[in-house]
Amino acid sequence: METSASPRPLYRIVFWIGLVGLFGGIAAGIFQSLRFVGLPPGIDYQKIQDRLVERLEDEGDYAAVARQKRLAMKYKVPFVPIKSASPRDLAEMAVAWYEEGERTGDPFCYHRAALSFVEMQALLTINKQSDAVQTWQETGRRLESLPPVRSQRWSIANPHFLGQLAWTMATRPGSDEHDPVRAIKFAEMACSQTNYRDAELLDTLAVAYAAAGHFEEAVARAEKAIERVAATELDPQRRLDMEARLELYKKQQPYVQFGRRETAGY
Amino acid sequence: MNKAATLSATSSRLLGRTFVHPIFDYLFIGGGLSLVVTAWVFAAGTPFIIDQAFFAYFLLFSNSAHFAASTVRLYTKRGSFEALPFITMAFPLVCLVVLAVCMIYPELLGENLLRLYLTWSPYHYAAQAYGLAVMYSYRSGCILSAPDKRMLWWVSMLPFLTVFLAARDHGLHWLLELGNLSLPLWVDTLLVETLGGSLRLLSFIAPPLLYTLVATNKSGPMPLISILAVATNVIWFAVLNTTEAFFWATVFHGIQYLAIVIIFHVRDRMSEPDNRHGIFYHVVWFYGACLILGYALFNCLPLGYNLAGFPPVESVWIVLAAINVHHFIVDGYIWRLKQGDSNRKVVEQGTTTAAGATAPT
Repeated sequence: METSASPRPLYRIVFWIGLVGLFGGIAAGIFQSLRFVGLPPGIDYQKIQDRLVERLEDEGDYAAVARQKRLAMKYKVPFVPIKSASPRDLAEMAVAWYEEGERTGDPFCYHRAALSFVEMQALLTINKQSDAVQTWQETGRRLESLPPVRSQRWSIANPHFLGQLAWTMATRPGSDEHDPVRAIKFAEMACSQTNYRDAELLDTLAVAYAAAGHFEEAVARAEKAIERVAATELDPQRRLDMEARLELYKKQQPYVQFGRRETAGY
Repeated sequence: MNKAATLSATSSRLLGRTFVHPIFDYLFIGGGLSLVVTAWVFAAGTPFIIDQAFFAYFLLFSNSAHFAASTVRLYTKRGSFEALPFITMAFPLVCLVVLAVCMIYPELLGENLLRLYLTWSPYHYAAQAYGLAVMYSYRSGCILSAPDKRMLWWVSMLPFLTVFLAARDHGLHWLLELGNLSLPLWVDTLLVETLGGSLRLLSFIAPPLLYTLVATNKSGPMPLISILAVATNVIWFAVLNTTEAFFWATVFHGIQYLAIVIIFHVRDRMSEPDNRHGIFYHVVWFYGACLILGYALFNCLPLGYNLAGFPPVESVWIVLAAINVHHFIVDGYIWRLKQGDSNRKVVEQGTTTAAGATAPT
């Protein structure tokens, strides 16, 4: 009788353990909220996370903070909108994702880097001021009307994404995004992926070297770029732009571009 | 039979046998309301979720309540403990253990749980659309033949297949990553752009084509609400961009789900001989329970994991993924329509047909 009994008593025990665990977890959550977030627990997940990460910052655990920020970006599910991201936030996000991709080799990271980057580009294109406030959705909508950007959007670690990133970081001195050293790194990666045969990427590399004050390297890369563009391109304006930039480097001047991208390079 | 009576019978058959009122059923369960919002979002973006605070409340009242609804239904339906001992009694602990293991290994397991949830969601929505379509057909006297049902199934699955192929961070690409595989660029482009794009296009054409085909078969025409349920799911994913599609599909799927589950709950309760309350009481009770449980699960539980020492991001996202997966699995059980089950009685109310029906999810 005992041995043939239904497993219900066991189920009941398991059920009560689960129930106690669940309600214990909920009660613990309310307690934790009381300590760090406030009561009643907020309903905005993003805010909850931000508060808890702030606590880590207060405790001085910066390694944990950095990891959490990276994970927050990685776990960002599609239906949670990113509100009010500035181009600087998005540039940092693109770089962080790129570096995460370099570290892990995970194509998902490169994809996210590309997404952050095109969002940043869109903000810079739409609003010249660096603290422009745009929602992800609005940005995405405008992006989709630009076919070249749309095709970039889904590319994974492609050299043209790197080239664009380098171009943005090299040509806007005084802006939050300006970072010539990183620009050289990205442009070199892009060029090496294309065996130093892509004229536009070589031009971008020259721009990056000039932005960092390495004018000899800039001249050498710019000459190579002009040589390549002569061999492959039919667009005379592109070559004229490159030649104009070469003249600047020879005068020890970097190429500077404010606001929106123009026709030359990236 | 005179012409007016024939016309009336035809229009009544096309309208279908609704649960509450044709306007309510078509707007909230069929998804008519979502078409209006989708057109608005398509034209003007998603302006009002700019406000994060509003967005959070919006999610709580529609989405969180909906995920909790399957659990509330499971435990309030008479006979659930006897009929589904594992799901009702053991499964919660299993989920808590899985959740804890995913928390301990967030990058190895937690992230995959999250991607599993993202992959499963479009399937879940598509299956719900299929279930609703079959259920309304059955209620309205349209007995779908096996080939018709198969056709309806595949048409309902088109949005899921599109997302499965095209999504970069879940679906097929996630499965390939799990197996440490990567596709050559040309195959990837072929899958994502050519095949994904073709399926997207096909998903527009398929619902009206299916409707016409079924109408000419011996099944006769399905009620319009059946094809509306399938078409709205298609439209969410085919018209809107990925971000908006995920957001709005989740919201309207939630509203649709809450409406149908509340109808089943209320009808169960009202048919009980010892019931002493009115419809309003049962509606408020059920929705209130869903809201409280949704809030406890999505907003309080993650903080509990944080108190236990798990970092903030994992605490929020992995809990969210686990609750979703729990909902998908529970849903697979609570909508079964066995002979004698109260679900079947609700579906059959007012019908004279005898063929088998399918659950909403």
